Amino acid sequence: MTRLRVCLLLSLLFVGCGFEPAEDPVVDSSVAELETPASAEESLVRLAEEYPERILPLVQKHCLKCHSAEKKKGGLDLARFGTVADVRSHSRTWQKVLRRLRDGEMPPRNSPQPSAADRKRLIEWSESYLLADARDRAGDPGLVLMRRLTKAEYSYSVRDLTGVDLRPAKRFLEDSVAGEGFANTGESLFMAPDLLPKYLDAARQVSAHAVLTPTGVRFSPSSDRHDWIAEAAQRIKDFYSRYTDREGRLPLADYLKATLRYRYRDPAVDLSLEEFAAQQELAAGRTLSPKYLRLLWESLNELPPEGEMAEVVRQWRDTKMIVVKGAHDAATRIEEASSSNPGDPKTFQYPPVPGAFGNPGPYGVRNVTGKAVDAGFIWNPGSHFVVDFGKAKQIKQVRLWSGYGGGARGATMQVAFADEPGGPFTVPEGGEFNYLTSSGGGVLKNGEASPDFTGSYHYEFQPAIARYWRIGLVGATSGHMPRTTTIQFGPMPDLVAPGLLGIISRRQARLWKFNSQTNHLIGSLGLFGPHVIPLSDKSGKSKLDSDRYSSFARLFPRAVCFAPVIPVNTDMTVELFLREDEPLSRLILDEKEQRQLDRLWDELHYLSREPVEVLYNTKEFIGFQPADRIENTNKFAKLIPSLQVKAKAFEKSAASAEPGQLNAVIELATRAWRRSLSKAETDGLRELYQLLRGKQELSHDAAIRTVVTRVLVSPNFLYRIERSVPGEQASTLSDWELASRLSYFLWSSMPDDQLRTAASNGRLQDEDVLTAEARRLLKDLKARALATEFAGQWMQFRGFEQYDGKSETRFPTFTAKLRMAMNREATEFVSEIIRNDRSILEFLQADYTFLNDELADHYGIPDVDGPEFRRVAGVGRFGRGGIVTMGSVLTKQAGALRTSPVLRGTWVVETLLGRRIPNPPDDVAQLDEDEVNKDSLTMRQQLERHRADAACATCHAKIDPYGFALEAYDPIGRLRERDRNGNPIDARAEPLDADAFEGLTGLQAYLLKHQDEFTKQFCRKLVGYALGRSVELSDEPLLAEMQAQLKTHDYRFSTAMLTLVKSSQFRRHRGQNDPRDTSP
Amino acid sequence: MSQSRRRKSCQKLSRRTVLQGLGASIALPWLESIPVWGDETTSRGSNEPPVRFACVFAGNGFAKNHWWAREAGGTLELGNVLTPVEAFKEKLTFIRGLYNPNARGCGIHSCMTGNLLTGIRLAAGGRIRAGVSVDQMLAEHVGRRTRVKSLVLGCERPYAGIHAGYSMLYSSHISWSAPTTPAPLELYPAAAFDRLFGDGGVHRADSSVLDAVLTDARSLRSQVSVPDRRKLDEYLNSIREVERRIEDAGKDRRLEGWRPTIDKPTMKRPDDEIPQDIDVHMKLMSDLVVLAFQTDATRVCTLKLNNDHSGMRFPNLGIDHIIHHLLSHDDVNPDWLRVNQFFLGHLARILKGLDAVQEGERTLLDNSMILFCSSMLTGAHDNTQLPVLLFGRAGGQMKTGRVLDYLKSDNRKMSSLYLSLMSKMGLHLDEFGDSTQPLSDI
Repeated sequence: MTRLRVCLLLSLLFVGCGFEPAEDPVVDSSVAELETPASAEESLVRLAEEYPERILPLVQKHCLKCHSAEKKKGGLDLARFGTVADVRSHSRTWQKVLRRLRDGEMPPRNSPQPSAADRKRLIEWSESYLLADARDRAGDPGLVLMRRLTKAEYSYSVRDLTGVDLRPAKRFLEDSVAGEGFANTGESLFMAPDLLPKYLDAARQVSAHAVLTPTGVRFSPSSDRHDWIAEAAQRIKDFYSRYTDREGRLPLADYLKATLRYRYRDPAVDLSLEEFAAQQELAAGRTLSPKYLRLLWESLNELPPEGEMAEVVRQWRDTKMIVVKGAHDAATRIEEASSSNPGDPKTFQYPPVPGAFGNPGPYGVRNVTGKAVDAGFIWNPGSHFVVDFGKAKQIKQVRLWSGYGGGARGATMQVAFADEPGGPFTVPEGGEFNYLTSSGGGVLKNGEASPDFTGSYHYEFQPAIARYWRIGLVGATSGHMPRTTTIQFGPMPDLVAPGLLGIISRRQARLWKFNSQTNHLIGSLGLFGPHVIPLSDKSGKSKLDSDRYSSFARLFPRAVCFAPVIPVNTDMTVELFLREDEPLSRLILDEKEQRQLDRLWDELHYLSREPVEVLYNTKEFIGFQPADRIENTNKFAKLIPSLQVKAKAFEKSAASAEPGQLNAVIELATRAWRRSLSKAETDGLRELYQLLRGKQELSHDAAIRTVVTRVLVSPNFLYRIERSVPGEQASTLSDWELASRLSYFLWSSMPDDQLRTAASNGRLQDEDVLTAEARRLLKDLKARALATEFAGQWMQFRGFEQYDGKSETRFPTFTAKLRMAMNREATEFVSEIIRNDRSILEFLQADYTFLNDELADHYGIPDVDGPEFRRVAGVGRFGRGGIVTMGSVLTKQAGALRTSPVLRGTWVVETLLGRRIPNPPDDVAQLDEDEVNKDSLTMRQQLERHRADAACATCHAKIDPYGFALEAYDPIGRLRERDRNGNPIDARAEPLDADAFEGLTGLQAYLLKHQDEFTKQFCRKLVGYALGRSVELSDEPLLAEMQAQLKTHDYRFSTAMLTLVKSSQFRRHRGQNDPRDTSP
Repeated sequence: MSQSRRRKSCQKLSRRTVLQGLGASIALPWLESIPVWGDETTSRGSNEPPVRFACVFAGNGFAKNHWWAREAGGTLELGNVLTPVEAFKEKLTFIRGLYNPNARGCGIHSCMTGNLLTGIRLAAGGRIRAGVSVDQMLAEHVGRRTRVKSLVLGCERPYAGIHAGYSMLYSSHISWSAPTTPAPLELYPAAAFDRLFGDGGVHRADSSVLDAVLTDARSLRSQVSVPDRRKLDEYLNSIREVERRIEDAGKDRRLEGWRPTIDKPTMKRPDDEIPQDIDVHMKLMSDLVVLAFQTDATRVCTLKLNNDHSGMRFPNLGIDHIIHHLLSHDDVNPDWLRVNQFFLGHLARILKGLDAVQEGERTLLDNSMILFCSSMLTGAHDNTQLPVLLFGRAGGQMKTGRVLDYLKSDNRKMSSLYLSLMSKMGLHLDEFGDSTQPLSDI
């Protein structure tokens, strides 16, 4: 057996081994900067003159033996480079020639070699020529093929077109890549007869989700009509819940508190009642209606205190408050109380920014783990706030209510006092006490005392006199911390809630009677208006006079709407939906909201075909009446004619919605096709609809859906089409085309309305507008697509959640969930850099990353609780920060049972720095696939053994050191001190091009020292991604410009992006008949 | 059909003609005339069952020491890799020594694989071009007579990425319907089943949609650049092909008097999702190949059991610690042999299925040509010769149970083999890929 040549280029040994640049950057951009186009032309002439005498003979002598027209070894025919014009028209090939020459790969070692001087001459001439050529062609738009939407782009586009994340592309073929290694490259985006049905199917799926509404077309996550009806009902419920609870009641306590708070507002704060209301936060995300607040305010201030209202008005007017002002107004709402002591309301001045409410103040409120205390009323262990009474005060009693659904369990509270700001604080005897909440009474519900409020957790301790009082949480016993806490100092006053509210609810109970009889069958629920029956005595006579009643009723209805929307009685009903919301409109909604609500109800009635259904239900109902209930039959039979009229009217009005729906589909087409439609196109869509209705006898509904399908199967949707001008000349892209280039570059999706407007106004070509739009798009959440698509493909973490390269038995914790978390980390990290326009050098080194509890556990980073992802700073000391430390990268660039310094090194060198490593020989040998091997060798020792072959060693010396530096990370990216054999980790790296270094910090320093290579690679990838093609020689000046801009602008992502977006390459398209593209 | 075209049908096709037709993909209906270009007349009678062709591919080669066969005492002895197909060795032609010259000297993996069935040198540097593959040539030739032209199946997702200057699309696709267009791999067994026995995802009602979008594409054609027109033509041709499928639905275009043994599927429609278990996935796909031939839903299948450069692992074999590709580098590892046998086991499943179907005097396997191959002999990227098995007798046109060794032969190109195979199905070409001469002895 022949001796196997031992060479371990693991770039061969693994899937997805990386994007090697399709062509090497030949021209050093620093050189490129020096030349001007004019001189480029001159040197081209000079170099052309040299070619026949000084260069061609060398090629003939050394290359043509193998690379002749006949032999074409390696597919390369160099005989065709008879003149310099041939070099020019095939400069890509010449780049390859230069690369092989420079790497010393050609002529092969066993062939006669050119003299050093000849080789040098060849190389220098080629470099100069290619450089001059690049300058001369700078800005050439290049061959950008018409691109079918990628799988991801299709999904995003449908999402943005319909507003629903339907993911119809699930069964599409995975896209392959071309160009610079991205799926959005025309070459790899093919269409085939077996693919087309998938597109057809996807389009049909999308159209099945179209919901035809009275005013047009919307899309639903469901394709089932019953779900659409449920959605429409839910939208009404959601609308109601903006202002009311599930029973349709107003959060009266909040309104009352707001009025009181407004009365005792800081006079320095100059706000109208409405502005004030807008700042008030309510539980469950509800808002206060300015209209109702104003009504309350004016009524309570102006109404004479008599009748049913009397007690309420009086109590309201007598309520006093103690206001504690915090850094955030939200703070105050917990502190309020109506004092039972008459007198001026007291203002308790907070010290500046107590820690409980946000940033740590001068008191340095930090908890034991050194984390800043969360904002709001979330108690973390160690958090506290300080109340400054202005002057020394004696505290006898502290009362605490803890809220939020009883989630609170227990904590140790501490009360301390001081005379000076900043302490020293003294804890009085008994100042530390266990604070427990339970499901028993006293727990506040949604921050608000429950009506059955009976007690409070209070603590009374030895009198102490001090100006500063500090309340804090010193330890947690179990479970969640109290989320909202009401703290009172001094004697217990009445709260607003039990006080005022109690009065109101007692009055309501007396005044309103819920008519439970009328919600059967047909008819109103009778909650409101005429259906409200004032409580009467046994004689049937009302005990209340109507004036007194109505003034109260107008202001304090028991409920403002029938929130369930759907009849809730247990008996049979013929009605589908009940609308009872007159008080809501009257008291709460402004005109715009009223119209909105009406539209929602229209849609519900339209979708449910309510009048038609009611007619049907009634007939059914009559049919079910037993014979002995003939009176019922007659009663309901009488209703039939009027129901028929209504049903007929409905059908008629439903038909009148049809043209609007067709118009909506045409509007949909203009968005789907990402441009304005010609008259012929619009007509074509209408004609198709007519054809389907007429000749093919489809229903309106089916015809509309078919037209939607047609819009989405059109090449106008499926492809990003750029029209080009006949002839050889490049031309500027149209506004629409430019808009799409921009949106697909930054969002992988279609332009939104604002970008469309800019395009349709013809303003997008304006550089300022283009820049502003690009910046805006970058800020948008959709720019996350740059993280998943651009960086994910470049750095190979895209699709990591499906990565399947580890042994489950060896790494049982490497679960699908963990993979998703790792993928998410990389995505969030890149997103942070891109969307917040940070320095791209943070790819190389950063002191933050994004974690959830699971990933933090995996990394051994403490104090990250909960499954949600968040930015975590200070991770450098845990060996994290920067893309090379990401679990996804470290894991993917490793074997199933072991690390791989070669894979990791290759990733650093090729992917991150864009260096080219020559192709390895065909024969490769194996390292042990398991880190646990019989000789207990470290990976380094194994590799060194294999590097005995000098030919292999040359290449490996360029790769392995950067992987060795990462040896402290195990095959699934965890830090470790020993490998599986028990050998201590040796993370020394001895690169050829730098001093030895060690570990991550050493590698990061190395990378930062070589940041120019990284930025060049970054720019190259960005250009390849943005344009969807290979980077050409003629792009070199653009790359140089992007790099230069980065350098002078703190390496901000946007700098490179904007330079690219403004470039000729991005904004122009080659001519229809460019000779470079038309020859085969 | 016009007289002139009929005359044309008598001419043999040169490779150039074919490639021009495919490459430019002109706006003409997709290779409209191809079915009649080849020589229709074969030695086979019209009531005989047709010849079917399948190519089954496995990536990364096989255990070198166990990949062999020799003739001994009127029968074949087989190496260990081939144990699973032992039962069918009488119907095997073991072919040794063939290679694909255009897959040499360019690097490894992607550039060895994408052209395995085309014989053309692949475009590098972020570009895509591979020529038309033998299965798709045959699909064009005989495909019009069956419901489905050809079935192109896969059990592993295509890769995104570029490896050593070549798109990994080449690692994932061996079947090419046009020089720049791979035939898409169907990974979903249910979708393949629907394609064969359902309406293929298109309905008559879609005609109006297709007509309309065809108009879109036509009107765009004049407004875009020459290279874009080629892209647009892929779309145009796809639309036309789908339209034709709608037209053809329910029609029987078979020229022969022969009819398949069954015309309805005997397996139930697979579940919608891709099976998690690779064994289940491969079994389903193998069964679909058998069923497709048995029902004569198509006569050409390509089944890519995995990608070259494959990332598959085999927990089902207790080999979860290493992916297929890495394992392939360890040629003497017993696990590698087991994985090889696992793949051959699926081949055996197909053979068994085919051989169980009696079509007159012969079995369906006898009437087929089942080509099993990889793009390298061993995991060490050795493609100086390729592993090639050929099962079946092409309806009695081939002698089997023998070893053909071409290693020392002047003509040992894969493309030559393809020329031979194509002629068994009535497609006689002057050239294909890089060959102008069929293999001797086949």
